[in-house]
Amino acid sequence: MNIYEVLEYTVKKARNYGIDEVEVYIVDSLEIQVRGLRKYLEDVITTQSLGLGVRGCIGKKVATQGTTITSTEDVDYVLRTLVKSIKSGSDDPEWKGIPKRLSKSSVDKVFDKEIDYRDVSEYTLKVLEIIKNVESRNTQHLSTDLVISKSRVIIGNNYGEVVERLETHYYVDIEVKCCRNSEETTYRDFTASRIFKELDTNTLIANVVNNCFKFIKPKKIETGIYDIVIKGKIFAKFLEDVLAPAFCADTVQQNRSPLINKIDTQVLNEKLTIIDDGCADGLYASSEFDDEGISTKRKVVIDKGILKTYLYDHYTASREGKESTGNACRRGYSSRPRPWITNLIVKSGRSSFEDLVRDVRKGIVIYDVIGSWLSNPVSGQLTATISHGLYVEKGEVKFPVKGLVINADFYKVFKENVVELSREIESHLNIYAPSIYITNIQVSSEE
Amino acid sequence: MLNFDKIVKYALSEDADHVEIRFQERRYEYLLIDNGVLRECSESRSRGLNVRVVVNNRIGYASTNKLDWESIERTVKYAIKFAKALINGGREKPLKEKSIIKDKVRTVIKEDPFDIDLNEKIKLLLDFNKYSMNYSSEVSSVITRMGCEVDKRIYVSSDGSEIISEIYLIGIGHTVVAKFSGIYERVYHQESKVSGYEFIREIDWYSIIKEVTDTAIKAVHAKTPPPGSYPVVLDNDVVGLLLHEAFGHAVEADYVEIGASVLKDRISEKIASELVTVIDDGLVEGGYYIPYDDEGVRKTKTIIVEKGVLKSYLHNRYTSSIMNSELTGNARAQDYESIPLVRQTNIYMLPGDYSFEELVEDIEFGIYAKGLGSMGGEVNPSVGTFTFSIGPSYIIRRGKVEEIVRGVVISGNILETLRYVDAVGKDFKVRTSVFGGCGKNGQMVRVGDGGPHVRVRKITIGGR
Repeated sequence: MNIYEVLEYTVKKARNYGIDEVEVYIVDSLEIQVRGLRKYLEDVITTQSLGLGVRGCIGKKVATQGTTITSTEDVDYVLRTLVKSIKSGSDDPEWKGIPKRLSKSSVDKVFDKEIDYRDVSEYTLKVLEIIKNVESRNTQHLSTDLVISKSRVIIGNNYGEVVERLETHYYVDIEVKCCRNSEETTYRDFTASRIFKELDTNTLIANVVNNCFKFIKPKKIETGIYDIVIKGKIFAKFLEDVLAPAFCADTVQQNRSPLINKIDTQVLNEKLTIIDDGCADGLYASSEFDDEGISTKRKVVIDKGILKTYLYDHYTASREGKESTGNACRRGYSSRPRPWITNLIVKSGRSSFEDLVRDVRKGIVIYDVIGSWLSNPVSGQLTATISHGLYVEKGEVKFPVKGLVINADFYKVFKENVVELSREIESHLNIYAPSIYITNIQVSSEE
Repeated sequence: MLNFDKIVKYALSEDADHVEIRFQERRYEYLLIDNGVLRECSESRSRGLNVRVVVNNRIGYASTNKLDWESIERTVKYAIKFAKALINGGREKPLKEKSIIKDKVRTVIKEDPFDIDLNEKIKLLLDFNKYSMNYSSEVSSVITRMGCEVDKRIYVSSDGSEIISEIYLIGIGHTVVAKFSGIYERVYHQESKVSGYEFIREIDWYSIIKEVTDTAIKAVHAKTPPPGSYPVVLDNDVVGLLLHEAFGHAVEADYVEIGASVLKDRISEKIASELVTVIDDGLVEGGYYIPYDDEGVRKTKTIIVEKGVLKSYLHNRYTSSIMNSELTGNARAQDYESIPLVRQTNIYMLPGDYSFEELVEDIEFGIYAKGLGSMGGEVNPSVGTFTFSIGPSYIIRRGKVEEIVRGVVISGNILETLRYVDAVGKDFKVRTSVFGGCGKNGQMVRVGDGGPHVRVRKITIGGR
C-alpha cells in the first residue's frame, strides 16, 4: 500500500464505521544515525517507519489512535479501537470539529533534495573527519552522534482535503575531553540544520574544544547573590522549559499557566521581544503546515516584554472563537495535536557577548547546565544546576565553577533584573536567542 | 507469524558471522481527564523488527516496521552493509560469549487491562478527578491519567537462543494545581506496577489523591527553603532518584569505557560510606520486570557497591568483553528501532537499622526531602554533577519535622554525596512508572528505583 492508498482507505473505512469526522495523519520516515566513539566509528543505524494517527469524532465525542502500518489490517485495527474509544468517552462540550480547510505557507530550505540515503559513506566520512579534527587539537574525542532524518507527512480528512510536506533534519552532537596538568574535564555541544551542506561542524568543533579547556580545575564559591551572563543556547533552554509551556493556549485554558489573563500586560523586561515563526526559511522547526494541516505563521508573542498572544491549535482557538495560529504539534503519530512553539526567536541586543562579561562586577557566565527541564512552568520557578560556568570579578574571568544551583522566579528575574542582551544569536534546535545579562540571582553552593 | 529462522539463515547467507533478531509488539493505552473532561483516550500500537549482524567483528543494525519479505530482506542487507562500512574506520567490537537460552516469560496477571471496559476506566478516572476538583476552592486544575502497556519482545539469535517475553505495566497518575493569591503550585504523583488490572482494584486511590491534593494546597502557601548546604533525610523515592541519577549512570560501562564517567578505574575503591550497598536487580518486587536484556542475556542481581566499595559496573556484551568482566544483563533498547545501550534496570540501596525518628533526632537544622511531587533528575557523569527536583518537603528543626517548603532542588557531586551517608533506615520500597522512565541518547526505558530512608550529612539545596 502506498501512502495515499492508506489515506484513502482510512477515510473510506472511517465512514463505514459511522465516524462523523476523521483526520488522518501519516508519517513515513527514515533515520540514519552514525556514531563515533573515541577514535573509531561505532555504529551505523537506520530506522524506517510508517506511522498512522487517526483522530475522529461522533458528535462531541472525540478520540485519537495510532499504529505503525504493515498492512490494511493495521488500519482496520486502529479504526476499531478508535470507534470503541469514541463511544466510551464523554462529550467534550468545547469540541467544534476538526479543521475542515487545510492550507500551506511558502517555506524554503526545509528539504535537502541532494541527499542520497542509499549511500552512507558521506556520513561515515563526516564522523571520521570530526574525530580526526578533534584529536588533532590536543583533545580527546569521546563521542559524536550524527543523525540524518527524512520524513514525508501527509494530513487528510473526510472533506477531501490533503496536504503533504517533505522534511530533512541534520543534527550532530560532539563530546570531548581535555587534560592539563593531570586535571581533566569534558564538554559537549551540538548543532543542527535542514540542509546537509549547512551543517557547520568546523565551528562546532572549534567551540567544543576551546570551551572545554576553560573548565579545567573548577573551584568552589559561596552561596550568595551573583550577577549572571547566560549564553544564548542556555537562555533558549530556559525559555523552552519555563516560558513556552505557559503561553500555549491549552495550559492557559486549563488554569495551569501564570500567564492567564496577562494579554497586553508587561510580563517580561522591555528589552525582550519574542517571535514564534513557523514559516521562516531553513529554521529547525519550519514547515509549510502544522500537525493539523494548517499553514504556519509568524507572530510576535512578547513585544518589548508585553504578552501579545497565546499559541493556538484549531481546538483551543475554536474555544475562543479565534483562528489557529498554526501551532498544532503531535509528539508522535498516536498523540492528539496540542499547541506548541515552532521556531522561537528572541530579538538580539546591541552589546557583544564580551561586552556583557566585561560589565560583570561579581558573577558567573553560564555555558551549560543540567536539569533545567525540572523547572516548573506552572509556578514559574526556574531551576538549573550549572555544570560549566566561569566565575567573573570586575569583568575578568577568574576560574571555572560547577555544581551551583540556580532557583529563581522566572518572571520576576526576566522582568526586573535584565541588563542587556548580546547581538550574537545562538540556537538550541528550534529556539534562537542571544546571551543575556541578569543581576542579583540567588546561587546555592556546597560552601 | 514471522519466520525468524528464515531471516537468520538469510543474513548468514549474506556474509553475517552472527545474527540477532529483535521483534517487538507493543500496545499502550492512555486515558487523560483534564478538569473533568476526557481529553485523551488513545491506544498506540507498534510492531517491527531490528536486525543486528556481526561481520568481521563489526556490528551493523537496521530496523523496519514493514514486515513483508522484501522489506525484511532490504533491512538485513542494510545491517550487513552498515557493518561492512565500519570495517574502514570502525573499531572491532568483540562480544562476550553468552549462554544459549530458550525461554518464555510472561507477567502473571489476573485481569488483562486491555479487556476491561473503557467506560469503567473512564468513570474511575472522572471520579478521582472530580474528588480533587471539589476538594477546595484553591484547587485550580486537575489532571488524572491512566496508562497501561503490554510489551512483547522476541529475541532470536543465530547461536540458538530464543527468548519470548510479555510484560504488562499499569498505573494511575494525578496532578493537582493549587492557586493562592496569584501563585500557582503543582504536585504530581503516580503509582504503577507490573501487573494486570487487579492493581487498580487493590489500591486505596482516594487516600493517595487526598494526599496529593492536600500537599498541593499546603505547598502553594509555603515558602522556598533557604539556599545552602544542610543535613537531609531522603525518603524512599528520593533515595531511588539519588542512586539512579547520582550514581547509576556513572557505573554504566559504556560511559566508563570511553572515559566519560568519574568512576572510571575505581573498582575496589571505597567510594561511599560503609553503610551503603547498592544493587541493580531486574526482578525486585515493585520494580520493572526485566528477566533478560535485549542481547539475550539473563539479568543478574548485580552488586554495584558493597559496604561502600565499588564492586562492578553495569555491562553489555561488548563492554563486558573488553573490560574482561562478568555479563550483567544490562543491554536495553527502548524499542525495536533502537540499539541496546547499557542501562540500569531497578537500582536500590539495601536497608540498615535506623527508625525514621532516629534519622531525624540529631538534626539541628535540615530538610526532610520527599519524593511525592518530584519531577525527576539529571546527571552529567563525566563532570560528576547531578541534580534533581523533589516534591514539597519539610524543614527539620531540633530533631522535629516542622513546616513544609516548596520548589526544592538538590544538587551534588557523585564522588562526594554517597560518602556523606551517615545513617540508613530499616524500611524499604522500590517503585516504577508506566508514564516515564530513564532517558539516555534519545532512548527511554522503563526502570525502577528505591531503597530505605537515608540521612546524608551534607547536600546542596537550591533555594531562594
